[in-house]
Amino acid sequence: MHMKLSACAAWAPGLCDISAWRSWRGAPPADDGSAPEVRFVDAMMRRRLGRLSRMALHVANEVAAGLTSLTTKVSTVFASRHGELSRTVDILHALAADEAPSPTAFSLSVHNSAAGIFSIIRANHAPSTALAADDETLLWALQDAAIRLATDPDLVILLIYADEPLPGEYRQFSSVKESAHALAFLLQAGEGMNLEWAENRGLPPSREPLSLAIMANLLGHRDRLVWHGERLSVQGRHHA
Amino acid sequence: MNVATDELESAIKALIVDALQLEDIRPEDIDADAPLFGEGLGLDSIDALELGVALKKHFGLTLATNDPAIKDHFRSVSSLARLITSQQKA
Repeated sequence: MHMKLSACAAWAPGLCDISAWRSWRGAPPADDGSAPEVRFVDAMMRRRLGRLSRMALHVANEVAAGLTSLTTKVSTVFASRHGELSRTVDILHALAADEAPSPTAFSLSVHNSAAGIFSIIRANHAPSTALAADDETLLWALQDAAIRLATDPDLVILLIYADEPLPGEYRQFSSVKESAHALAFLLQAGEGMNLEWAENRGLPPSREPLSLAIMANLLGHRDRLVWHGERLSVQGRHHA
Repeated sequence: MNVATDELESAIKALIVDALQLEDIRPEDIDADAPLFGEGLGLDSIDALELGVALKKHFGLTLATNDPAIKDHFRSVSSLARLITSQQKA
């Protein structure tokens, strides 16, 4: 698949803007638990947002703020491997303790929370997909964007990827070195971002998430993207 | 207003700020007689549910969702205080 990457934003604890990401090498900094401020979200809505949604909305806004009025209504793809799982775990803890779960946590525990809030705050009625696909989550989000751009080359697509480490109870099942981070890509039909994927023929899966491998290539830290997952291998190259 | 009512209303205000994560509002900013929902504090239906759960947990309040008077009970901090007091007497 090939697309044009028109704009990009990224956030992680300790890597709060793209210039910090440009000087970033290797593993992400230690997680200090911080979250972006998202002051552009109305206070009554903002108070309920967990870190995952704050990260996703922050990078979405960084990219969407640069859109001209003609493309204010932007199709979105929200991708997260684990989504709002920490909220679900809180609900399960309450049920296990025979307590009433929090209605707020329940209302925002769905995978596409951030997608819904983004559409509300920007009054954006354009189509939106929310997806999760194991360690291939970002690959299929990009594939979804590529298919939509192939169908309608005039589209502008905002892709948001955000993830947090699994809650403690589930951490032993994690196959990659997880860290809190969020990325946003503004994608259009064209060239620049090129990716190929095929069945992984027996190579050991990478401990690095695909998202960070893609970022390392986009920022020019690595000439080529080569990533092996549990099922697929992904290769690619980005020409700015 | 007696001291017990005053303390109860303060406790309800603190619970509202805490349970509903009202970042920019302090308990003492809440007017005990002002409407909590829609106008006034501007809380919504999810807040009503969240507040119901918190009141059950902290004050042992029993709420019947089919009670036609429930909307009046949840009108303001002072009406909630009256509800809690009436249940504690019963």
